[in-house]
Amino acid sequence: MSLLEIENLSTEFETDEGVVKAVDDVDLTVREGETVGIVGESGSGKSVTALSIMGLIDSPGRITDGRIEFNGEDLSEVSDERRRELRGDEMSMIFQDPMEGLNPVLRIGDQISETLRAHDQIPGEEIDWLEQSLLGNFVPRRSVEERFPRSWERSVELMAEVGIPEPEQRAKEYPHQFSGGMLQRAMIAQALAGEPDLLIADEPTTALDVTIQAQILNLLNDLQEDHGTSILLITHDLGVVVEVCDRVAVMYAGEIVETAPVEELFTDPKHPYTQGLLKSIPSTKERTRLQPLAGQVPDLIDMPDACYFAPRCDHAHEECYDGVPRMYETGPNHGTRCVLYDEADPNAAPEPGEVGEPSRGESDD
Amino acid sequence: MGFKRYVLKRLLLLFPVLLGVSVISFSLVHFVPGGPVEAALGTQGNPELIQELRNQYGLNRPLYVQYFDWLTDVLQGDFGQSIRTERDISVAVERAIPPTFWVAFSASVVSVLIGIPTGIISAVNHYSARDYVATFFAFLGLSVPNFFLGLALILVFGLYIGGLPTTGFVDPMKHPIEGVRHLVLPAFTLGTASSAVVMRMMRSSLLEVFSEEYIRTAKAKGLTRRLITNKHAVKNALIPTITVIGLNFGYLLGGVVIVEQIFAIPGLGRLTLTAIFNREYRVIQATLLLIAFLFAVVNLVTDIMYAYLDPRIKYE
Amino acid sequence: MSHQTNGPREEEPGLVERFRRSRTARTGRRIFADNRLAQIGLLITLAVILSATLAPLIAPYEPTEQNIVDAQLESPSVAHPMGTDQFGRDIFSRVVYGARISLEVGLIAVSFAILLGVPLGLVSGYYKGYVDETIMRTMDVLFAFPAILLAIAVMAVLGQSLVNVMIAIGVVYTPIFARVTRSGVLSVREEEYVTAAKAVGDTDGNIIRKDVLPNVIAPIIVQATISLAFAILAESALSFLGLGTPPPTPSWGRMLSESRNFMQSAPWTVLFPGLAIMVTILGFNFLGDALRDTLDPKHDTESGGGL
Repeated sequence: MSLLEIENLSTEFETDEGVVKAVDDVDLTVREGETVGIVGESGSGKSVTALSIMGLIDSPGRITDGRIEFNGEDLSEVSDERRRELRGDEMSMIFQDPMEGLNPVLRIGDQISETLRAHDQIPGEEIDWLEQSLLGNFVPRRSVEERFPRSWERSVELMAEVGIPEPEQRAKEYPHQFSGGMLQRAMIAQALAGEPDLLIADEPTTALDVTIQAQILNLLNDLQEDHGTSILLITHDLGVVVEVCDRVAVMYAGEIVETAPVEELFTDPKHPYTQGLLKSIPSTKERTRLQPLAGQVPDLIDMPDACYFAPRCDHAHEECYDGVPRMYETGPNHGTRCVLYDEADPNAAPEPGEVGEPSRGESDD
Repeated sequence: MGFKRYVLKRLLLLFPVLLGVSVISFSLVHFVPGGPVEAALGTQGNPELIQELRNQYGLNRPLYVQYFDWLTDVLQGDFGQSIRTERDISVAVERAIPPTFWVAFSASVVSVLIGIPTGIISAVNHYSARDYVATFFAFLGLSVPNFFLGLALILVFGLYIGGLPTTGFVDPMKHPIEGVRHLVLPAFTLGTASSAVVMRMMRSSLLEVFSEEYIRTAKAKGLTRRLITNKHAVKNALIPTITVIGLNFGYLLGGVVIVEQIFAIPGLGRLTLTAIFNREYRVIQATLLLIAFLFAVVNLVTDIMYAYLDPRIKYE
Repeated sequence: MSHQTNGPREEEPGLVERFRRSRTARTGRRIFADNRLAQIGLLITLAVILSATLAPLIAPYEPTEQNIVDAQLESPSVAHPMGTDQFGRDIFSRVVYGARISLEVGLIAVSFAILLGVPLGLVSGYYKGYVDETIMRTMDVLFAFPAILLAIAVMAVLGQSLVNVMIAIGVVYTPIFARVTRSGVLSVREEEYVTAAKAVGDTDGNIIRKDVLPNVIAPIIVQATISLAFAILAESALSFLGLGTPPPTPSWGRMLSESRNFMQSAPWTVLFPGLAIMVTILGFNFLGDALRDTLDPKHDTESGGGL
C-alpha cells in the first residue's frame, strides 16, 4: 500500500466567467520514501492539486470528485478537524516565497516551535488558552523559550539540521533578518517539525538564486534519506525535477498527461506535450533555435470533450477529438494520456518518437 | 540600531512643530481686533486704563520680545494672569487638566474595547449579515454628532432610565466607583465615533492580512482557525490600527470641548469656552498650547509604539 | 455630394446618447451601480440640496416667525409636522432652512480650503526640496491642533459671524487638501509623461495644469466630499457651542443648544435638528465612501479630519 493514493481527483473553482476545472480527473501515487515531481506550466493545476491534498482549498473552490487515500485514510470522507490534525503533523507543505510565507512579527523559533506545540509533539508543551485569545496580544508574557524550553530546543535542533548556522541565535530573529535561502531552510525546518510522512514542496526554489537552489535541493535529498520522508515536488522547472525526483507526472490543463520514472521521461518522452517541453529547454551542447510550443494553455472553462492538448499538437487527428483520452500504458511504470498509444487503434502512428511527422492515419468512417 | 534612530528623528521633528504651535497660540491674542486689553475691557475701558493695562502686561513691547518672555514663562509653568479677572491662569489650568485627561482617556478605552473586537468579528465574518450590521453601525457612529449623542444619552440614562450621573466630575483616583460612574456617559459620547473609526481600520487591515501568504502557511501547519486569527492575523493587523487609535486622540481632544460643555465637566475644554465668552484671551493661549502639546506628544508616542511593535522597523 | 462615404452613413449620436457614452456617465455608473449605500448617499445628498435651494417653497412658515402666545412648544401635529420650539417657531421650517446654512457654510468652507490647500499641495509636491519642507511643516503645525479647537480659536479671534465661521472651518481643512494634493502630485510627477513634457521644454505652469492636475483631481473630489460632511458637522458643533452661526439664522447645531433645557418635556425640539444633522452626514459619508472606492482605491485621501 502506498503512502498517498489519489484517484479521480477533481477540483473546481466558481468564477464570474464560469466554472474553472483546475484539477481534472487526476490519478497519482506516492510511495514511502519516494520523491515524485509534478511538472507543468502555470495554470496546469499542479499547485491546486497540492492544495487539494492538503485540504487547503477554500471557497470559491472545492473538491468535487475523487479519493485521496493517505496512510490508509480516505481524506475525502474525513472531517475538517481531522484534516487539520494531519496538516503540519503527518503531511506538511512549503511554499514558493519564504519571505512572504512566514509571519513577519513572530520570531523564527516561535514559529517552528508553534508547530511542535500545536500537534502535541512534546507532552506538557501545548498551545495555551491565552495564546489563542485576543487578550494574548495585549498581555505581556515571558518569552517562548522560557515557557516552552523543550519545544524551543527541538526547534533549534531542526534549524541546525537544515543547515542554518548559529541556530540558537537565529531562532530569536525575525524573518526579515534572514536571507532568502536561509529563510527557505527555516520553512523546511518548520515543515519537518511534525515529522511528516509526506512533504509537499510547491516551487520551493523558484524565488531563490540559482546557487542557492542547488543547496536547497541537496538539502531535500538529504532529508529524505535521513528521515524517509516522501516528497511531492511541484515545479515548472525540468532541471529541478532531474535533481531530486524518482518519478515525474506531467500536468497540462488540469490533467496528468504522462507519468514515468525520471530518466525514462527525459530519454523517452511519449506524450507530445512532454516532448514539446523538453524541446523548449535550451541545449547546452548545440546552438539551435528554440522550438517553443505553439499556441497557449486553454482557459479551463468549458473544456471540450476531447484531448485538451490537441489544438496545439502536431500529431492531432480525428481520434483526438473523440472524447477525453484515457491513460495508456506505455511501459511498466510509464503512463501516457494520448491516443497515439492506443494499440487497438490502427490509425495511431506507431512511433511518435519521430517528431515532426504528423500522423496520416486513414479514416475508418 | 534603527529603532533608536527612528525615535530620535521623531523627537527632533517634534520641536519645530511645537515651536510653531507656540507661535500660533501666542499670536492668537494679538490678532484680536483692537487688541487683547481692549477686547477684555470691552466698552468699559477708557483710554488711560487701557494704556495702563497695556504697560502692565508689557503689550507695548515688540512682538518677538513678548513672545520670548511668554515662552520662557510658560516653560517654567507660569501662564500669567488673565487680563480681565486677574486670576492666576496656571492654577486654573492645572486644576482643569485631570478631568480632561480622564475624559479623553476613558473615551479611548471605550473605542478600543468596542472597536477592536467588532472589527475582528466583522472581518472574520466578512460579507455576512453580522458584518453588514456592524459596518452600518460603524457608519452611524461616525455620523452622529457627539453633542446629539450626548444629549440623547443624558435623556435616556439620566432622565428616563436613570442610573448614571449626567453632570460633574469625580476624580477616579480618589473615589474610583463614583469617578467611573461619572465618566461613563461622557466616555461613550466621545468614544462612539472613535470606536467606529477603530472598527473600520481593524476590519480592513485584518482583511488585508488574511490574504497574505503567511496565513496560508499557518493553515498548512495545522493551526486552529482561532489561533491563526487571534495570534497570527490580529498581531499584524494591530499595527496600523494602533496608529489610528493614536491619531484619533486628536479628535478626542477636540471633542472634549463639547463633552465637557454638555456634562458640565470642569476641564480644559470648558475653561477654553468660558474664556472665549469672557474674552480672557490669555487663558485661551494657555489651553490651546497645552492641548496641542498633548496631542503632539500622543502622536509621538504612537509613532514610537508603531516602530516598537513592528519588528521590521525595530530590528533593522 | 461633399460626403462620399463607403459604407452606409452612421447617424450622428444625439446629445443624450453622447452623454451616456461619456466618461462622466461611465464613471457615474461604476460608482452607483450595485452599490446600495452609494445610492442612498446620493439620495440623501440630493434631498438636502433640494431642501436648501427650495427652502422658501417647501417651508410652510418663516423660520424666524415667532408665536409664543399660541404655539409654544407644541408637539408634532398636522399644522407643525415637527412641532414648535419655545418661541413658537415651526421646527420643520427651521430644519428646512437650516439645510441652507449647513450647505452654504460647508460648501464655502471647503471651497476655501481647496483654493488655499490645493495650490499649496501642488507647489509642495512638484518642486519638493526647501519649499516642500516649509509648506509641509506649516501644515503639520496646523495639524497639531485638534480640528474643532482650531476652529474655536479662530472664531474667538475673529468674532462671531457667518463669514468667520466659513473662514474658521476653511482654515481647519486646508492642510488636508494640501496633503492629499501633494501625495497625488508625488505619485504622478515620476510618470513618464511628466518627464517627457519637461524634456520638451514645457513650462512648469503648463505641466502642472495639463499633466499633473487632471490626475490629482480624483482624490481631491473624494476628499472634498468627505470634508464637506465634516464641515457641516463642524458648523453645527460650533453653533451648538454658541460660537457659530449667529442668531436668529436657523442652524441645526444652535437649535440643539437652544432647546437643551426643554429636552425632557419637548424632546422633538432636540430630536429633529439632531436627526437632520445625522442623516445629512450619513448621506455624505456614504457618498464619499463610494466615490473613494471608485476614484481613489489607493486611499490617498484621509477620512476623519473630524472634530
